[in-house]
Amino acid sequence: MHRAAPALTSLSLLVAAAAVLPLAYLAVRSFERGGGVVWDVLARTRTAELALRSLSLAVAVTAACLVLGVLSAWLVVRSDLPGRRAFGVLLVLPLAVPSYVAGFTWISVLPDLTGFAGAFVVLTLVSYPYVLLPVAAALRTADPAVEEVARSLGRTSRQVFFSVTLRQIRPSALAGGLLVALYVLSDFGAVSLMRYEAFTLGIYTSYRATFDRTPAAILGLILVLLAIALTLGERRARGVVAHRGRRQPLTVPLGRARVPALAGSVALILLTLGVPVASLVWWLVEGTSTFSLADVLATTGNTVAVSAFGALLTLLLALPVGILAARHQGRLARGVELASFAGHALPGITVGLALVFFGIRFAPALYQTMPMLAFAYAVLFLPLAVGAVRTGVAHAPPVLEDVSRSLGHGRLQTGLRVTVPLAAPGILAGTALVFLTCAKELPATLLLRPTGVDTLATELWTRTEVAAYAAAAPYAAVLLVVAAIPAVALDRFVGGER
Amino acid sequence: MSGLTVKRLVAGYGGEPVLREVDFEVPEGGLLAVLGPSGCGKTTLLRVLAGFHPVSSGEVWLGGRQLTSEVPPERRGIGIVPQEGALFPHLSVAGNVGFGLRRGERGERVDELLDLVGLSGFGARMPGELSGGQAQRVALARALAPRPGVVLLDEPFSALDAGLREELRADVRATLKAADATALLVTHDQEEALGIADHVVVLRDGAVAQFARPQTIYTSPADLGVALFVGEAVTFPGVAGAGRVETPLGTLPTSGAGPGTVLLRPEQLILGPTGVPSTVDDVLFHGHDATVLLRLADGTQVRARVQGRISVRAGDSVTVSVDGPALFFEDTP
Repeated sequence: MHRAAPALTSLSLLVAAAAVLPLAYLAVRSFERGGGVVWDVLARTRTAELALRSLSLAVAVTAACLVLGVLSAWLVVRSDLPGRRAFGVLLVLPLAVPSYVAGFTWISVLPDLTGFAGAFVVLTLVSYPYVLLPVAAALRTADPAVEEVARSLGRTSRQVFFSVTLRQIRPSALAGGLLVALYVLSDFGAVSLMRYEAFTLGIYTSYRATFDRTPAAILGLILVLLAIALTLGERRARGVVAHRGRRQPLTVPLGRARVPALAGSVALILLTLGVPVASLVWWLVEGTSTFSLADVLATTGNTVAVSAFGALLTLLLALPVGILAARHQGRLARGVELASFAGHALPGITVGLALVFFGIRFAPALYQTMPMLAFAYAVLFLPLAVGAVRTGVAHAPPVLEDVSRSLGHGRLQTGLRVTVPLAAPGILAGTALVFLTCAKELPATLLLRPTGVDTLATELWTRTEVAAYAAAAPYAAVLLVVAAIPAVALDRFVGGER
Repeated sequence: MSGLTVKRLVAGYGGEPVLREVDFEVPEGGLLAVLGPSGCGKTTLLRVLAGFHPVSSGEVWLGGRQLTSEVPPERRGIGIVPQEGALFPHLSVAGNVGFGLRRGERGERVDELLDLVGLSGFGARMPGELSGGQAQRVALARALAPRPGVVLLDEPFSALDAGLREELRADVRATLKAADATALLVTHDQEEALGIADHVVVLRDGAVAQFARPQTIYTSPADLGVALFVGEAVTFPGVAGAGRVETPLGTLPTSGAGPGTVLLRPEQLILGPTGVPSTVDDVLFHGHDATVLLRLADGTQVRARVQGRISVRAGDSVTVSVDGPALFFEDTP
């Protein structure tokens, strides 16, 4: 009904163009020296090896996450597991732990846990909540009447689980699984610390090691294409929504399985949270003499500055797109929103790489400066911010603005008294989340940080690389706190809704 | 001061106009209902009057002043009560009611209005703590607070359940009359439109099909479409002439001439000792009255509305007669 203001539309188009710029430039850079070079890189055995390593890791981790995620979701939502509400919170927490922090805590106590096994363990333990969350949501909203009908038709509760429940949660599990695969494929922190040369690490070494950087660009482009394929798959899988029931789902008694289920849940929490915390405490106590508090504080200051800059730029870019998406439904609005979601599919390493190339070629003055790094964050985390702006603005529906105007207030006053007070809390919360996510970002920061400016993530990574575990520990500790903030806030938020 | 006047109003989105030469008037202090099915242009009419949608041609006059498209919503003096109230969720009830008032005049006027809508003492509550009916009352108080020239109500009772709807309808009418407010209410519910308003505009495909008092709309509808839309009907094809028409229920007095449709209201069909023989197919009991489905000798089924105690059952043989004249609508060639 309403037509979008031309200014809003053109700003949104600009943001959409900026969001796909790194990807476009990566393609341009790859083909700059002709298709022959691209073919050469593709035909190398090393390329095939990298792809095979990444894909086998993704498959293994995804399979493990599907098993762990579905089982734990079912235990938390549907079983009579003692303390299942607390388990529900604790089992999701690992999601907030950056993979390289988890990697550090494992390799620093088990230095032999490298290669495929190490990457597999670390990535599985941080990414199974990607399956747990959507599956738990599906279990909560599935119509219990369907299961009751199956029971009344003579199926046992075990048969019902396999023939009815699993089918109800299949779309959610699939969507979660694809998200895990995307996460594994894009991960740089865990695979580099566990010394497993997957695609992302291959790109980084080929960028660092050789003078000719075209192969790095081509590899980056291949990774992006794989990631986009997974993202599209995930969007399709997520589109299939199960029928919503209006009642609480039934609780299934565990019976004799109660003790093993409890033991398994406790073991999983010990592995995902216990090991990192214990390892950190040990190194902090062990290594008090090896780190300087001043260094940690200075790095924290850097991280705050870089992340604040990034979060602010991301918010500015997200505002027009989010407002357009919330208020207008046209094809243009959907297209712009989709483009702004590019960052969801783009691995950090490729965004970093693309901006390195772009910066060297077109904006040498900006290369390795704060604005360039902030822009990389904006591209990567635009989806988060656009989502926040969109839901924020949705809290201030146009009808309230109409009422305000009919009561004698002009556009400006209506904005100040109605739209901003209603939309601001959601937008601010989203911006805070972007800030914390910037603070944890590793690969793009590694490539684009201004010379001499180290963040918590890069310090932890470089020190762990050279096995200076005690020196790395305080940075990991601060990062763990940073990671825990949104988890705690989210839990309070969710808790408040009950 | 002369209420709201709408003259040959045309408005639309791009190509096809949604409102086509709409004319009506609401006298000062009057309550007009705009009745029409969804998609007839009711919402567009409200948006045009409130100043959220431009006029293509025609005029809107309020209290002797012409409201052209250049007059922005905030300068029109037109209050709106949207569907489901749309209270500002971040403001208390008092904050909502006082939103359109200047700071100095808030306190007393807010109390006065809360009193008027029967919610004295609710000022400190937040919108989330109100029931649907209470939220609607607050929305009405909010719209009335700045003493607007006219209040527009958009399907104000559609989200409420049946019992509450009737009670609130009477309260809203009483409130509007007590505040001496001019009001325009749009609805798709004919019972609501006929029950609440002084005058009714029947809007069909963006044009006024009829503009009259509720009784007139019901007893002398402008055409067959209006007649069918505003109430239940029993219809037969027939040929009228010399003030009468042949129907399966006998020869009935009517006006008109030539082929057309005979229309009776179910309450005109009387079960009694005389009339046309028929069989009871079924009885649908509504509490205050009942609908009796009758099958006539020639096989046509008709509905009779019966008040009071129902003494017939499915399968009974009864005789049915007609009370009052039949409406007759000539076929349009």
